[in-house]
Amino acid sequence: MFKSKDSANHRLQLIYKQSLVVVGGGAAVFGRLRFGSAGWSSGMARCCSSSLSPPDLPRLADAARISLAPHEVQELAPKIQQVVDWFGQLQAVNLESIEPSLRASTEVKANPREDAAEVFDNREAILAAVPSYDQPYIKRMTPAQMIPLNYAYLLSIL
Amino acid sequence: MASLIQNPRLLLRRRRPSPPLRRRLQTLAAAASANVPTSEILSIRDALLSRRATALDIASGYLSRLRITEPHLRSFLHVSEKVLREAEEVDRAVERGEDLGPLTGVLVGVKDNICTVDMPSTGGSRILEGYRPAFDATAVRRLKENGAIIVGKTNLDEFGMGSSTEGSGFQVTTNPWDLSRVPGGSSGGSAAAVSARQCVVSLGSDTGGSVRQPASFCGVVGMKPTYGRVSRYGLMAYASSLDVIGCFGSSVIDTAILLKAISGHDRFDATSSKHDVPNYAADLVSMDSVESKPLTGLKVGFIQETLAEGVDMGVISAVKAAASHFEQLGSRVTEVSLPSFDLGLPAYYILATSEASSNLSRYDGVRYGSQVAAEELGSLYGDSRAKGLGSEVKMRILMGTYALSAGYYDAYYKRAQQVRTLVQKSFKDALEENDILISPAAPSVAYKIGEKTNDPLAMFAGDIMTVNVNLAGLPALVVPCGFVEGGTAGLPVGLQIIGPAFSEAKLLQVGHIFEQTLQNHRFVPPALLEGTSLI
Repeated sequence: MFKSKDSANHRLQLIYKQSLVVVGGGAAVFGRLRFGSAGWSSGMARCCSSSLSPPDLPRLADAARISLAPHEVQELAPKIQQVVDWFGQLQAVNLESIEPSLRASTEVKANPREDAAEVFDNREAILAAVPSYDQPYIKRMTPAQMIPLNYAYLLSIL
Repeated sequence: MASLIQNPRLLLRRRRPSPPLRRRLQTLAAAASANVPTSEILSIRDALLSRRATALDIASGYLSRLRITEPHLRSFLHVSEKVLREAEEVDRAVERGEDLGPLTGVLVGVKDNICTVDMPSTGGSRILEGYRPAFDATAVRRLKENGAIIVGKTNLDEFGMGSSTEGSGFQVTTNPWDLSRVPGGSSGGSAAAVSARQCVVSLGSDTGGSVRQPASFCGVVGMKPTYGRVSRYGLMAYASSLDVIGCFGSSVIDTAILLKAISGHDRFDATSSKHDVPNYAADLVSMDSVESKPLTGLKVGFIQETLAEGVDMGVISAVKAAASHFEQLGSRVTEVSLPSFDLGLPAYYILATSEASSNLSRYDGVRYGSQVAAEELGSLYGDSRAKGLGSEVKMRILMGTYALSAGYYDAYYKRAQQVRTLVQKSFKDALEENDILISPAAPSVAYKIGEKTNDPLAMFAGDIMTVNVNLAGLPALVVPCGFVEGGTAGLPVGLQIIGPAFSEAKLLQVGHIFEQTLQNHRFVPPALLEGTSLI
């Protein structure tokens, strides 16, 4: 999907790697979190680090379909690294033979309704919410199509 | 007209307030002069039925207070233009002698991540700026069926992600107790609105504490129901296995009435429960007939891990005082340990960010919301999301994308699910030895705006008291229990009361007795007592 942005992606990768150096390397060691309103960061003890490869932000942004600007990569990368390292403490816990829980066990048995099609009673409102609808298509506006609109705006402020 | 015997539903509808309820109304009127909170909802109902006031008078009063306080509080993203018109309709219904639903004439605020068909619903995000849903959330539909007047949509952290409401894409809401402090989050707007009496009650949502923590910070009652108690249809999903819709009120009775109105099975939510919905408010004991030790026999477990280092001293002493109060009321309070308590926080954030990364993929500028012009589809998605989503939301989506990446499931998501099992088990064990568990609702009182915005882990740390309850899907009630120094009249502290699944009735009964017997505290922001000015 982002093939046309290879060079931009490459630039993002460089910025990302630079930001990690600033933090102190890939698998930085952060401690077990202590809670409180202030001063918690000074009280962090030593703990585990993640043995998995660190988050590759440009790749993740690609997967999540979010076009991150270079300054955003620089800003978010250390924060995400910090949180992911903190997640890593779960790897130190012995969880052998514990069944994973999909959801809260509050007697919620599946109560699916009948598998029958129902026409929604307010279809006009659904279509009215579409940013650019050109019956019967949901359109993608190109920058070129925005020009008449921008031109009109420019005229209005002259 | 069908005879009453042939149509029992008519019989129910024609029922006048029962004698015990009338006695309760009289008690409340007496209590109004004391410090204890009274039921605004029942007072409104009484005023309407006895023709002492019109719905229009009442609504105008709230609206004028809202207009005066809003420039300082900014708790609303949208205020309905139809409030007075709806109030006039209520007055016509009263004149015609029609049956009045339990929320008739009551102004309700609705968190903006809950869909309302006649008002914009943004989820606190620019990506949904101007979006008008095609339907009402089931909880909203039920409010309307019960006669409520929806006064507006309240501010929140974007899509429910945050604990201070500073993460809103539009504005920062302030705390009515101190305008330089946060109201808590993510349901900060809903909590502040009730605290400042801009509306009577409000709806919020709670995924990791987003109703309970702002209730504590704003000095109001907050109820997080059992997972499945209230339909999630129409709640913009953040983490589907953790989200619930919750209630705010200025008293336990009002919260109970609101909870009853919105609870129950819904065919549009496959995770909603068919469990019976009791009449929560009717079960609340009138303080007239209450003996001196009304909680005799109640076994209360104080969660030991919540008294650890890092919790404010003022909060600890307020909650310990609440525990003594429970003992004076006749209950037995002992300390109980929840062994997996500390692990709950990272487990919660792994699960929540992972589920969020999936749930928020629908916001791509195609079917709703703001679309950024682009040359091809990939950029349309990428650029629309980049422009419309805030940085906290982006961060959480990316963290979730990482945790769910191929090969990482075992390390993160599966382990978090396993910790979830441990957390559920430790609650189950603790609730076998005890009827209810208590703890602070937050490790601190409301902090200053801007204090934690750059530090994600510091922000997460504030959720330590609440996330485990969401992992287990249990219900929890927060009632104001004391103050810590700060602001002009102190900053409120909330007590969290946790019970087994579907034990909301018990929590409300206990909370009501606690609230009605708590002396020397008045949980009304000081400026409101003088008039309507908050400065």
